[in-house]
This record gives sequence, C-alpha cells and structure tokens, in this order.
Amino acid sequence: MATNNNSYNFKVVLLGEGCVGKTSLVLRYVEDSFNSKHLSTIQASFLNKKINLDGNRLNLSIWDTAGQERFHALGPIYYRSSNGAILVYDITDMDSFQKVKSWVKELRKMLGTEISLAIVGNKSDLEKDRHVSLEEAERYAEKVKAMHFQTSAKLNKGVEEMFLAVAQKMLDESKEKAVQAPQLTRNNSQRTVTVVDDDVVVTNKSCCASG
Amino acid sequence: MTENDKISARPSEILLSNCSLNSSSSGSSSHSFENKSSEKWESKQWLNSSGSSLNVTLTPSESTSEMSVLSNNKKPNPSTRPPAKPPTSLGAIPKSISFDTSADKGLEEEERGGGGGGRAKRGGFFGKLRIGFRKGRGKSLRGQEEFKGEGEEYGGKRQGEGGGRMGSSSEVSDDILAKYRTKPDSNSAKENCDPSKSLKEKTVYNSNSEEINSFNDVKNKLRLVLSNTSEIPHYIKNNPINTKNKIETVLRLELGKARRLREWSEVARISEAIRCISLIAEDVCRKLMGSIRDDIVMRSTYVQYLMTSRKELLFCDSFLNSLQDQVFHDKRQCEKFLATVCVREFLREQETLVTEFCEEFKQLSLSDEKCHFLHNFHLKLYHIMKSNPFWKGIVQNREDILKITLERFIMKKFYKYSIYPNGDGDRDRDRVLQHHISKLSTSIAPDHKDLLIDRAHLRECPWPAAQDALRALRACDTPRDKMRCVVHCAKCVMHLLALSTQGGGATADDLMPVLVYVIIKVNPEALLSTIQYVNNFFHVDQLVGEEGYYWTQFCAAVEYIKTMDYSD
Repeated sequence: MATNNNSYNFKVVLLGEGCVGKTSLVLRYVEDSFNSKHLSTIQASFLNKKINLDGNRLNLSIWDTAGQERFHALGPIYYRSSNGAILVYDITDMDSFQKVKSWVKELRKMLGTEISLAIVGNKSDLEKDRHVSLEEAERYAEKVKAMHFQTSAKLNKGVEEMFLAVAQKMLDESKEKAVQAPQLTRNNSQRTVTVVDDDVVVTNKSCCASG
Repeated sequence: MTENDKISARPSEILLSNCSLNSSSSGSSSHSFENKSSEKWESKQWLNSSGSSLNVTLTPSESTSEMSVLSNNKKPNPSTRPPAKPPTSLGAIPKSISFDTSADKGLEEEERGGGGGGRAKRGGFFGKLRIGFRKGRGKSLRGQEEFKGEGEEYGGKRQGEGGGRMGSSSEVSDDILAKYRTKPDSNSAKENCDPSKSLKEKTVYNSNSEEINSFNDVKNKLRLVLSNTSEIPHYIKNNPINTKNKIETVLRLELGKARRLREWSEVARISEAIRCISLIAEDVCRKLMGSIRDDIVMRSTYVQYLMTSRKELLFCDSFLNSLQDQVFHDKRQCEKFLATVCVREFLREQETLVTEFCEEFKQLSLSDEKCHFLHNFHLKLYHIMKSNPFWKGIVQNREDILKITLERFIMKKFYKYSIYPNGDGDRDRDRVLQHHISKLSTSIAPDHKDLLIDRAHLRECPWPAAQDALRALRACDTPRDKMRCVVHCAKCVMHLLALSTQGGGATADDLMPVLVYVIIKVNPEALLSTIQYVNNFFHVDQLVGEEGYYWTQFCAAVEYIKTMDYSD
C-alpha cells in the first residue's frame, strides 16, 4: 500500500504458538529503538515503527496476536489485508514448529503470494536444548518460499535484521506489484485493496485446487 | 513596603485564580507542600504576619493549601523574622567572618533596617535566590559574597572530605538565614563579637590584612577547584601524611582528571591552586582546612533549605503544568461546543437539502451504496458550509472539528436507518447473540476452560473500568464514537493488565481472554449490528493504526464468543 511515491504503510502480523516469544521480539525491537525509560508506557501488542529503507519511508504496523491454540480460528481476522507475517517458533519446541507449518499452509491458501512470510526460530540462545534442526527449518522455508531467521530476543541477536529483511521484502513486492499493475497501488483506499484481496483469494483457491 | 507588596501579591494572585479554577486538584497537590513545610520549618510566624494579605473569603481547605504554597516563597522573608533573633545569630557570627565582604552590604543594611522598623526589604528569599542562581552558574569566580550561591558545591565537598561535622544541621533554618543576613554587620562591628569563638580568624585578621587576603584567596581557589570533587580515595583520607601533602595529592588527581577531559580552564585553575598550596606552610594548611570545614557546617542547613526549595519548586511546576493541561482541555471542550452550535444552526439552514437526502437514503437497500451516499452527502454539506461567506470565519482553523461534528449530526439523523440495514433480520440476530451471552455470563469465570486468564492478572478482576468504558457503547451514535469507545475499553484492559505485569507491557496473549470476559459481562446490545455498522461506515481515516488494531481485537473477541458453549 503506497501512500505516495516514497512512503509505504505495511501491516505485519506476528503469528505463532503461545510462549514462543512473539511479544519479546516486538519488545526487543521497541526497546532498542526507544529510550528504555519509556518502556513502561509502550504497548507491547501494537507497535508502529517508521524506518527508512533505500530512501523509502516505511511505516510498519506490527500486530501481536493471541497465540493460544483456542484462539487459532481468529487468525483470518488478524492477517486480513496484512502485507507480511512473521511466524515464530521456539527452537527447543518441535510442536511450535509444526504450528508454524500449519500457519504457512493456511496463509498461502488464503492470501497466496500476496503476503511476505518470514519464519523465525526464536530462543537461539538455548542452542543446547535445540529440537528443531536448522537445516530442516531452512529447507522447509525454502520450500514454501519464506525467509528464515534465527533470533534471540533475550540476547538481542538478529531481531533488528529480521524486521529489516521483512520490511525490505514487503517493499520489493510492493514495488513489483506497482510495476505490474500501477492502477491497483495508486488506488490507496483500503476498501479497494480489500476487494483486490478477495479476488486474489478466489484465484488462488482455484490455483490450489488445480495444483 | 511597595516592593514587598509586589512580591507577595503576585504569587497569591496566581494561586487564588488556581484555586477558583479547580479547587479539588489544587488541594491534593498543595497539601503535600503543607505537610513538608510545616514539619521542616516553623512557619507560624510568617503565617501570622503575611496571612493578612490573603483573601479571607477562601474556604478552609483552599486557604490552607494556598498558604502552604505561599510558605515556600515567603518563609525566609526576613520581615517576618522576629526581632528577638539577633542574639542567637550573634553567637554564630565569627564563623563567617573569614569570607565576609561588603559586597552586598548596602542591601543587607537595608534589610536590617527593615527587620527593626518593620520595613520591607528586597533581600528576602527572592533576592537570595537571584544571587544564588547567578553564582550557581559560576560567573563570578572570586566574588567573596558567593558563599550564598555556592552552598551546594560545599555540600558535595563536605561528603568528599568526610568532615563528619553535621552536628549543626539540626539548627533551625531561620537561625542560619539570620547568620547570613547579619554577617556584614558583624564584619564592621566585630568588636561586639565574642572574642573566644572567633579567635582563630581574628588573629589572622589582626596580624596583617595582606595575609588574610592571601589566606582567603587561597581558600577561594581551593574551594573552587575542589567543589566538584566527587570522592576522595580512602587511602588518601586515611594516610598519615600531613595535610599539605594530602591536599596536593588530591589536587594532582584532579589535575590529571581535568587534563584527561581536556578541560583547560579547569587545568589552569587547579595548577594555580597547587602553586598556592605549595607556597604556604603546613599549619596554615591545617588552618585552611579547618576554616573550610567550618564553612561547610555552617552552610549545610542552607544547602538543605535550597534542596527543599528546589523540590518544592518542582512540585509547583508539575502542578502548574497540570493546570495548563486542564485549561487546554477546557478550551477544546469550548471549541467542540461551539462547533456543535454552529453545525446545528447550519443544518437548520439546509433543512430542505437534508429532508431531500433523507428520502433518497431510505430508497437505498445495499449497505455499501448507503455508505457511499452518506459519505458524499457529508462532503457536500461540508463544502457548502466552507464556501458560504457566513460560515467562512468559523470554518477557518476549525476544519477538523467541524467536519467531525457535521458527521456526528448526519450519522445521528440516519442512525436508525443505518444500524439495522436489513431491518428485523439484524435485530433478531443481535437478540440471539445477546441471549447467548447472557446465558454465558451466568456460568463464566476467569478460569473458564475457554478463557484461562493468567492467575497473575486476576487481582484486577473483573476489570470494572473497562466494563464501564464498554457500557458507553450504546450512548454513541457515530461509527467513529463507537470505535473510540471500544478502543478505550481495550486500552483500559491493557492498562489494568500492565499493572500486574512486571516490566514491559501486557501482551496480546493476555488481552484476548480478558477482553472476551469483559464483553460477556457487559453484554452490549446490538453487538453484531454495531460491528457491521462501524465496518461499513467508518472510512474517514480507515481502520488502520492502533485504533484499527484494537477494533480488530474486539471483533475477534466477539467472533470467539460466538463459538463458546455453556459447558464448564
């Protein structure tokens, strides 16, 4: 969604099982960009972040979601009309990785390639308890055309890089889309975008069915 | 007299208006002043003497709070000092001899005249503060009267020196202030002093005026250089070497530090101090330290007084800031009201247009058609208003608020047509959900299997502030107000959750179940229609950003409630 030539608004949702550290990732990203004194007033669940990337102004709205299994069905409400999704798993917990797989399946089915996916193995500081092998995760990410990162919110490793890479990917895709169909991105109204999304869902469903 | 009146009248004026603006808020913040000042200072005397200028029509609570604030400003005012003080202060005079000067003698003398004859003088609190601030910035480095302003620096040094002579800190501040006040007189009338107490200084003084000058000069240099010393290493403090060596060692350490920091003016000052110290003998050094130590003890109460004053000024500052906020919000409230009046008047002018539109609107059936139609009508009316020369002046600078008010009026008018676009079908749907929620609310508990709210957050249960916020939903007519109401409710939950979350804020994991619980307990009417209404008609700024996030959370919570069943 480009508001004008050089400025973009992107919505990013954080998905993943409870306790994998979604909120910690956001908090870490916030903490490093703000004075720690202000931390108490920061809402950890919603974060607006302005960044500059190659002369483009990006406004990231990062949405944290409830990760408990019983709220899984609410997913579509959150990821509707989002540009990127960060799927977080815990490298010490195989189940959380399986959960990521199910999210990927759902997102690709509902939104197709419209959404930039990043799979993030958090808690890389607990290397000795690792249950999800790096090769497996990377192989899977490559298969579903998602980026893969390893982060440690605790040690602040790879967090900023991960958010930046996701922003870059969304920017690239948005520009690509603008080249392909300039009239679509010109039309900034969310209403229009929603309509476009619906179309995409339909076409992709048919793609999935045929493929 | 006139000057004193000016000084005292200004603060009381401000405070009086404060009290009339908002007596409840002034009460709370000012009472803290009163407690502090009454235990720290004996304020009765000044209360009696300066209270006469106060407005006697105040209610008791207001007048005490006001007086307590005034006390910060007025207490040290010497005009209120009882004339009986001089004897006590005379006893302490000798201590201050060594750094007296006649610099502000004229001022002080006037002051003294005021103390005796009941005349007002300007050397009171404000005069001292003025001098203090000027000196605090270090502009006059060698001025002898600087002792008043440099009290704080002495405080710092006292800790460093570990003098341990805090005994006199129990002295009443009035005594200390009295000492400062009468000091210049003591200089000229030294013969009146008790000779035994001022023996040391006196001998120095009497022996040679040149000598005392150089003594004071060295002392000032030393004071200047050591004033910022944070900590003197204990191995120097406890070393049995003589005083002179100690001073020199400390100075060399300071010199090294200053060089490292490239503070060349400091380096020059320290080297000069080292040179001076090297010229004087050990016994003079000891005398020097003794004299400095006396200064510190004498000023400690004054330093405390300054710190208390500073604290109270900060309180005052935050209090004034909150008043400013209140005024600002009052202004906004007035703007809003003005906009309401204007828009009502404007719509009366456009009566025919509105009726026409109303008829057309009723013909429409599809909700997005209605939405577009309404939006266009809103813009049209706004442009009519903007281009009308009669309203032009009002619209200027108030575009946003007028736009929103206009929207509110229009939406209000069409509320009953737009909230239930499908008529009875929508009403039935809402009724079913409401019945479902009311059944749920009899069995729901925070540890319900579908909620499982973290035990840590149960202390704020049942989150009444959030419930109240959500109850206001039915009172709102426009989509914008409805959404704001929901966002406010969700934020309330977040704030309450943050209370029980150590560090960081509350997370979405915590928010969701609590929000579900709150919605079930409140059970707002026409919930589904409201959500549909907002989603259809809210498109001015679109549902993005934080508002969009919380609105989505709310919608998700309602979706979740739909799926809940009644089993435990």
